[in-house]
This record gives sequence, structure tokens and C-alpha cells, in this order.
Amino acid sequence: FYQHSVCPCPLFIKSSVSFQSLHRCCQRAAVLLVARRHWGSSSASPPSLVSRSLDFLARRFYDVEALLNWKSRIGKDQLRKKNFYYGYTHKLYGPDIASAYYILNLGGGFRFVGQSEWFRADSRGKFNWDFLNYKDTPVEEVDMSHTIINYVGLSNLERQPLRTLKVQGCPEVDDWFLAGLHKFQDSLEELDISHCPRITVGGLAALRNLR
Amino acid sequence: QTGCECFRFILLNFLLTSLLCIFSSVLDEKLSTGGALRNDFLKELKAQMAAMKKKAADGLPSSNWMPFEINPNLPPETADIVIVGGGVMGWSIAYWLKQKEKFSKKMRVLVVERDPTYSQASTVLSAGGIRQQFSLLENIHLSLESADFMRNINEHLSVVNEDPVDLQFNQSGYLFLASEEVAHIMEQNYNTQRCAGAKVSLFSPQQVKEKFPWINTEGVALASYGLENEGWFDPWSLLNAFRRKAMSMGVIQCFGEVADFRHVKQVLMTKNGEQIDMKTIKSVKVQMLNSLEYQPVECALVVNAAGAFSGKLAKMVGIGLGPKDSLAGFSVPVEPRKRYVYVVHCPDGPGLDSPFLIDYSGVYFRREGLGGNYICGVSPEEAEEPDTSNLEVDHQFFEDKVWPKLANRVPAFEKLKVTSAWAGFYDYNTFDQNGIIGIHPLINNMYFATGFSGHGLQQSPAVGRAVAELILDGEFKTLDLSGLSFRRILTQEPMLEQNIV
Repeated sequence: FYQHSVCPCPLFIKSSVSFQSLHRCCQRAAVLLVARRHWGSSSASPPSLVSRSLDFLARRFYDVEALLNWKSRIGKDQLRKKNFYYGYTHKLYGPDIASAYYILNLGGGFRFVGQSEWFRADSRGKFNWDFLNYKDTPVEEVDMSHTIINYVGLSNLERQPLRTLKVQGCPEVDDWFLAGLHKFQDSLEELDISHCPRITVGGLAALRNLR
Repeated sequence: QTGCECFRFILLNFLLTSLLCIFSSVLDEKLSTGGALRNDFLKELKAQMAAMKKKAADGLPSSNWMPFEINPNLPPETADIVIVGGGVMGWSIAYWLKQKEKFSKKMRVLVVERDPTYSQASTVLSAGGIRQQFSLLENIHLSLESADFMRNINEHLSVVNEDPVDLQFNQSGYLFLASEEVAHIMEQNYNTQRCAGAKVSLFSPQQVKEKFPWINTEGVALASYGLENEGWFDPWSLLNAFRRKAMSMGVIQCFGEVADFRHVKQVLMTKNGEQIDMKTIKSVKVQMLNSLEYQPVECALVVNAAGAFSGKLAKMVGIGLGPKDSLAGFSVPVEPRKRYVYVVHCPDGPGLDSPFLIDYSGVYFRREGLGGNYICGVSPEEAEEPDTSNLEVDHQFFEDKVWPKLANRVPAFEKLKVTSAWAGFYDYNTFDQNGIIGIHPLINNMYFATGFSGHGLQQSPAVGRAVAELILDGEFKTLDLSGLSFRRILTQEPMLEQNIV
């Protein structure tokens, strides 16, 4: 990542291109750099025009490559921040409230042991703070479908005697996440991992630990 | 003189090309409907002019053309760090060196590998397992850190515009079986592993039978089972991931063999009047493959990651060639040991849940793929070590040593067929079967990362980082591996590992 300010005009080029086309290219690049996270070309569908043009530019201009790297790093940082271990909440309120808070923060839903109502975050991320009333009640059922939970985030759910865990359609659930489920081997009864794109056969072997 | 001629040639060429372009474009428009013969002639002329243009462009200063031929595969004349050995250890060190010194474009790292096909390299011939069930604390930490690395491998080793890294990691876990005599050792090891943070659990024979009904638990007193961070993966993918990322960060790869070292000697006298020669390597002579051509590479540091052949490399610098009872007489105790791996097919064998099973007799097997194929083998006794001059497989060894014990442990394996087999070298540390990481006391600038005796692949990411820290920071920062240094060999205090497969 170059230590100068990334300004469009003097682009550091990788191969010889005339300055006029350079200028035009970089203006177009600024427009194209709106979009989504730049991932590898392993998606099933053919890469869209946006990603193909970004690839083309990144191959030729160091600055474009650096910007793309920066973008993906920001995305990864956000993921990491969301899945951090909620140590502060844990210390103040105890492990159960910490897990509950984590689940709601990520946009999932859960049910306490002995209660019958589910606590959920709505589509805008706002949730009811009533769950704070239930101190020292562990969480029994968790629905984290379509959230960005990953292996590190699983450590937030550690001490809960989970009976149901739904992670349908989570893009960050991979084989290592499944291997980490051995913590719940005594209590887990239902596990839903459908539509998780990153699970492979190697991960299914990890499920032998669950009873 | 050549410049002048070149210039005239270029000018002439430019004029001719421009003339021809105008001429042919005019002609093409006029002759578009007919005159096939004249078109052919024009096309040929165009092709010839293109060739001349290319030759002229080569003559310009920015092209790669040289009047005399230079072999493009030669390494550079100078390099800061030369890593001898292009296996997973060497490339891991190269990657971490560049990773730690990201903004310095001034450090040139060269990796020298003598076999571009990797036909005899231990990395690619390994069974590819990773486990935390060791008895030595350093080994456990190394494996844990490497597993962490592999969990986040795309964060570390992904390259922009390339496919993400897929290690094909099978999260299956190791199952060690212990008999009565060694059960107490297993318990001790279990405590060490738990303290270090490995997720292992102990099973009684009944629990083993319950979980894996296809095991015959006769003679088993205790079993140790890995719950997480254990399994097996594809070593070639890991090697290529390291290589691709390191090369994208500027590491230079060279295929050649290190034939010689040029070093200078400094003679020191101890209090007792004993003479000690401190050597400093000045340059490495890299010989090209199948040719007499060589290139001396001047270097500041050399890293010996040559695996099974590290002992031979060390001898080139003169380690071990001194009188027997002096410091110079200690050779690097790493030698190649041949190990066989047999691929068997058994239709009724254990299914997806089968772990990497290791019996107390030393026989091991693991599932390979989903079609009922398994990989198995055993380490031969000290006295019956096979000859290491080639990688030929002894099939009788399977019949005599592997099959009976395997069939005893897993009755389903009584009916199987050996579909394939291969042999690979362990970089066997004859002293205590654990890795040697660190600088040699008698050579100022040679670092060693070798002698892992079969668990090098699984520790390679963490060892790479440790060696990079040692080189760039001068000391271990994340993991303290000073126990694995050369000191223990010189003071003859072995750090024995009891769980070697």
C-alpha cells in the first residue's frame, strides 16, 4: 500500500499507456469503485462487468490494486469487529447476557431457557432491551441465519447449553466453525447449516463429535 | 557505435513503416473488391515489416534483448537472504520475511530449489496431517499456531485477482491408542496438551468402542482424541499458496542446486588454548540444473531449509568436519529416512467419521477421499531402516509389518487391496527427533530450520514466522523456541518427543 495520498491524476502505471487514456481510465475507475467487496473469481456465476473491469484495472495500475486491497481489508475489519469477544459485557453482566447481546447485535434471535418468547433484532438492527431483565438465564435456542457469524464469534456463545442452532445461509460459516461446535456436543439437538456456501466435506467430518 | 547503427536502423525502420502503413491503407481501400494476389503480397510484406518493427523495438533501451545470450534462469548476483530448499519450510520462511518487512523494497530474498518437479521433496510426499498431541510444549504451541494460521489462510495468503486458497482441510482429529505400559505417558501428555490449550480428550476403551464401533479395542488401555484443530490437508496447496504469495511480494525463485559455499574464517582462541574457527558465508554457488553453468550469489544470510538433505548441505560449509571431541566436530544430526505410504481400498471400511488412527505399535491409517480409500503405513524399527538412495517402495513391508497389525486393530481391513504406494523422506533428527531452529554457533550467518522428523509440514507456518523473527528482530517474539536451538545438541541434552509417528 503506497504511502502517498491516492489521488487520481498521476497514477503509477504498471505498463506503458499514454497519459490521455490514463486520465480517462482513472476517471472511469473512480466511478466503478462504488461496488461490492472484491473477492476471488471463485463464484459460480461468470464475473460481472464491474468485477471484470476492476480486475483489468488492478492488473495494470498499482493504485487501483491498492484501493481494492484497502476495500477488502475494511470489509474484513468490519467482520472482525462484529465478531469480537464481548469481554466487557461478559465482565459486567455475565456470560449469558453477553451472548444474548452478541446475538442481537449481529441480527439473530434467541430464546432463553424456560421462556417461550424469542428475542430478535428487526431488519434495521434495532432490538428490545428487555432481555437484560433475565439475568443468569442461559440461552437455549439460537437462530443466526443470514448473519455474519464466524469461528471467532462462536466463542461468544461458549458457555450456553444450546439445544438448537440455526446458521442457515451464513456466508462466513466454514469448516472450522463446524469443528468449533464440539463445545456443544452434549447439549446440541438440532443444527441447521443449509445454504452455507463455505462448508465442504472436510467440515462434515467434524460433525462426528456431536451426539 | 552499435548505438549509432541502431539509431539509424530505427529511423529507417520508422520511415519505412509509416510509409508502408499509409501505402497499404490506401491500397487496401482501393483493392477491397479484387486483386487477391496483390493482397497476399501486401499481407506478406506487412508481416515482414511487423517483424522488422519488433527487431527495432528490441534494439531500444527498454527491451530485454542482449547481443549475447544469458540464461534467464540464473539467480541474481547478489541477494540479502538465500533460502536453500524450496519446500514448505523454505517458502514459509520467505513469506514471513517479506510479510514482516512489508515496506522495505530493499531486502532481496532468494529461494533456491533443486527440483522443479518436487519429485523427492518431503513436503509433497507427506500424509499431510496436523495434530496437537505431542509431549513437548514447543511442538504443541507450534501446531496450534499453525492451525490458527490455516484457519485464516485467506487472510494471510490470498493474492489479489487470484483464486482463494483451498487447503481441503479435513477436520477429523487424531486418535492415539495406548496400551497398559504407555498409558501413564499418555495421561501426562494429555495434561501438558490441555495446559497448552489443545482441545484433546481422553477416552476409555468402552467409550472408544461406542464412538467407533469398527475398532477392535483389545489391548487398548487409554485413547487420546483430538476434538479440534486436527486433521489432514493437501500439502501441495499449502506449498503453492506460500509460493504464490511470497512471489507476489517479491521473493525470487531459482531452480538450481547449491554446490558450494565461499566463506571466510576467523580464528578465535578459548581460555584453554583451544582454537575455534568462526566462519562467515560470503557467497553461495548455485549450479544450474543439468548444466555446468553456475552463478555465485553474494549473500548476507543463508537459511538451511533443505529438509532431508540439510546434513549434506551443512557438511559443505564444514560443520562436523573438525576433530571429534571439539565444537567443530558436531555435525548437524539430520539425515534422510525413507518411509512408505500405502494407499489401500476397502469397500467396507470405516466411514466419514474415521479419525487419523495411530496404534501403539506405530501403525497408522487415515481415510482418503470418500470412495473407501485409506492411507496407511508404519515407521520401521531403528535396525531395519530401509536404504535411502532411492524412493522405491517395498511392498513386502506392507505384507509383513503393516497389514497384520492393521487388520488386528480394524477387522474390516482384513479384506483390502493395495492400489498404490509411494515413499518419501523424513528429515530425521537422529539426536532427538525434534526440529532444529536457530543459528549455528560456529557459522555467523547460517540459520537452520530442519530436522522435524515427520512433523515439519504441520509446523511450517509457525516455524516460518519464528525464523523470520529471529532474523529480523534478533529474538523470538511470539513463540519462545529457544529450547529447539543448537544448544541442546552441543550440550548433548536431548528434548525427546514421545509421540513420533
